[in-house]
Amino acid sequence: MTSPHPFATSRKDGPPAHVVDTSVASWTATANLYLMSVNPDGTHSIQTVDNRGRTGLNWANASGPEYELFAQRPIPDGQGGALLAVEQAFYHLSSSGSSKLSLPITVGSADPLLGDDRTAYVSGNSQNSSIPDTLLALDVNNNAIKWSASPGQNPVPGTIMSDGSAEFQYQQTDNTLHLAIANPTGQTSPLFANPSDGSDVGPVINLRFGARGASFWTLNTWFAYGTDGGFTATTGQVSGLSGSAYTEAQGNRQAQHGPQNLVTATFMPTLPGSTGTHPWGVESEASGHILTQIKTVAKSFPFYTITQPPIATADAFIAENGTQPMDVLGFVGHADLINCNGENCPFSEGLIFVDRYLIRTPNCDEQILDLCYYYDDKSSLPTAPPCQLGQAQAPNGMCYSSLVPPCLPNDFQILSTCFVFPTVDNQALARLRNVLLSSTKVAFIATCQTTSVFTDWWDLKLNAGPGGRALVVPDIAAMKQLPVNQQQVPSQNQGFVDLVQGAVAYEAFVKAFGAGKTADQAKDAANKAVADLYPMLIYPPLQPNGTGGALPQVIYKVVGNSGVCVNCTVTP
Amino acid sequence: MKFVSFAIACLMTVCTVTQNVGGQEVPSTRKREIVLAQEFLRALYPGLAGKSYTLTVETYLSFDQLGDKLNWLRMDVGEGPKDLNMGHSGGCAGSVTLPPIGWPQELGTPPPPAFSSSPQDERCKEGSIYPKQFLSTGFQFDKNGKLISFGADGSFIDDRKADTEIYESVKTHPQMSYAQVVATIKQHGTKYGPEDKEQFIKNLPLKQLEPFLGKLQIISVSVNEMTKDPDPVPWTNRWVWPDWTVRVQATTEQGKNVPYELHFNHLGGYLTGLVDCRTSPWCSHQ
Repeated sequence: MTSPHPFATSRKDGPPAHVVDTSVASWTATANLYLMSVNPDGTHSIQTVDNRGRTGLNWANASGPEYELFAQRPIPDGQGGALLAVEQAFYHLSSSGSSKLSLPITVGSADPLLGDDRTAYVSGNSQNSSIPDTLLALDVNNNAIKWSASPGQNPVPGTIMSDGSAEFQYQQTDNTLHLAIANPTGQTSPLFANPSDGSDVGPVINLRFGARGASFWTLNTWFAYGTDGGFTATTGQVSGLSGSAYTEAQGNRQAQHGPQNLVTATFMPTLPGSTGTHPWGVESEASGHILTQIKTVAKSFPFYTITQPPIATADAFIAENGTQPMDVLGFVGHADLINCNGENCPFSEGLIFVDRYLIRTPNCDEQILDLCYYYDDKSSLPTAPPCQLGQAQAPNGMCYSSLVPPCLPNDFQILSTCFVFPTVDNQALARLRNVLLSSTKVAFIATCQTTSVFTDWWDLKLNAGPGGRALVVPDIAAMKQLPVNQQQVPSQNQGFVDLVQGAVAYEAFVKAFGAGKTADQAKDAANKAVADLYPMLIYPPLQPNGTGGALPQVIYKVVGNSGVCVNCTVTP
Repeated sequence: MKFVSFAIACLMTVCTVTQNVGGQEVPSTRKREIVLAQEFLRALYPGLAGKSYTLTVETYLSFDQLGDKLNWLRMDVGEGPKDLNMGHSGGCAGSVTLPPIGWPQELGTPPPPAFSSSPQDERCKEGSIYPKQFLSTGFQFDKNGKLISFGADGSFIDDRKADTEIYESVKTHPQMSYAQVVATIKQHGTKYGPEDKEQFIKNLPLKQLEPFLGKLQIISVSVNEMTKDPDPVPWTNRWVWPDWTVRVQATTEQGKNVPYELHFNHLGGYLTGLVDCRTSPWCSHQ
């Protein structure tokens, strides 16, 4: 600050000189905290994370309010944003803005880690503590602290597991390093515990060997430094590695501690195209086309087709989907559709395989109209209500005796209704499932009319981490809103899925997912592949009877845990 | 939903490829494409010739436009017209085998009657009976009548019997080495295993294709290969059939260079696909 008074002096040949007495001058200093992201092509962008200012008198005492960035690094949030812990704050930055969570600790130098249930883990000094003593779990979605633990000195989160537990190292006052694990509620226990009493069986590492924690490999095996400083492989009773982007210190950047390639299974019980639309109309070529893409990222890729072994049967699907630990399960084929007149009609309630149907078990007893289908309204003539004794009223309002048990010989009784189910070529009976238990991290489905009856069928929590699994399906509502579909697609074709588009989307999804993208990001890659392809597709002209015409451009969505990621190694 | 091409097309079956329709000459462009397609099949699948098989032709055209170009054809080769209903099969009944009458007493109690269910194969399939088809193919032509896409499948190319046996054998012997897997493939009739590239190239039907595409030059030849190394992943979970992909460049009579991608089945080495890489988004190495 300058002023001509009161200490101005005159000079002979010029204006009065300005003399500053900085001891009484005020000062203002500001600091900005920026995050710069550098893209692989060398371009970069800068985002303001936070800022603060400080003012005072006497310039000699001026000091900047710099942020104390010791060694903290931002980590990917798994959804295209970043997480950053600085001093006593935890920032979540995304394309839509940023949030700040005040912490009761001053974070230490260890990077935050992130589980696929979107819990972040940081450690640092509690108030008035001169050494790091606290481990915090933070709910990124709700910007809140989940739990706090103080297991000892210098706790450092090491590995986040798929069940939401967090392995960490800490020191005791005798300068020994110990390994521990916190469960999803923050209760801590030794990483390797004596099964009889839960006591710590080590290793207890003297710090003269360095503060080296454990490293999770696969099959519940940990590599850890032993008590004598030697290298050990130890089996622990824990779940697998979390699927998020930053589950280990240093981010598991080469994915060397997780599966490098995907475990997949693909079912193609229907040819995506016809013989005239090469290559999708020839079975070996359609499967070869898809397999060629999947092989680039998968180490296991059984491909179930129509005639070339292995065959896409319903039982094979149930076995792969419900019992095999898997990264991606794909289905490209026909849905079993129910035609009706409601808002959500028609809808899919099942999948059609080479040998039989797999159908969501209907229920006509609980007045859930969407689930009341395949009731036997064919074996008796309808009569107008009121229904007589021995009749029941179907959702179409008419009364039928064939709905009421005892059911006819080829019908099936479910609760108090008789049903008749479709078969493939009059062969095997349909398989019914109330719930489709799924053991895959992601199920990718290319089939028609995947509305809520279909998506609600899938239980994506079988042995899953807290975030659950993901189901990737055509977004029927979004497809109807797409301008190109509104302009070019006949109304009767809305909601139907061209399996060629579905197959191309599946290829793009698996490749992106295997390359380290989250389910949500891989879904975006699938949608882009379809958008690029769609203008090149040629559909038969619309016929006067309403058949033919263009099929809609397919848009996929993720149901469930959109952050699922198997090979996340770099900033998404 | 099934992809749409001919599910919603107005099908037209042409019984003989040179027959006139309604006393009028079939427009020459259409006739040319049908004859070209028939010649193409006879050249590439000579084993089907001389057996009095029937060629079924399907296509669709605009009913209102007489000069409409023919851009899609489906051809099937079989024992008769593909859609000729030859009757209805009621399926097979199970059988009961009784012990021979006069069972010798010294052999003790006669065995109980043996029940056998009906065979679960093609012979006992219920429903309408149609002439057996051996080859199903599809052709696409551009606006100038040039072949731009072809696909083929059917029991003549691969009846899947050998494939099923190979797959089951490998599945039940997970300890097989890669060499043993290849040997199994070869033992079951696969003409060109992954190691037979030289022989495969030597026998490529380029001469048969040249009348339709132009002078051909091989750019690359590749085969679907499985990982050879010992691996904890079972063979059947990383199984790919050793089909072949050949990239060629055709030089037309006008001196134009046209890239094509050709696909050949692993079993007999027959052509299963052809695409003009200028117009198709499906070429694998564009």
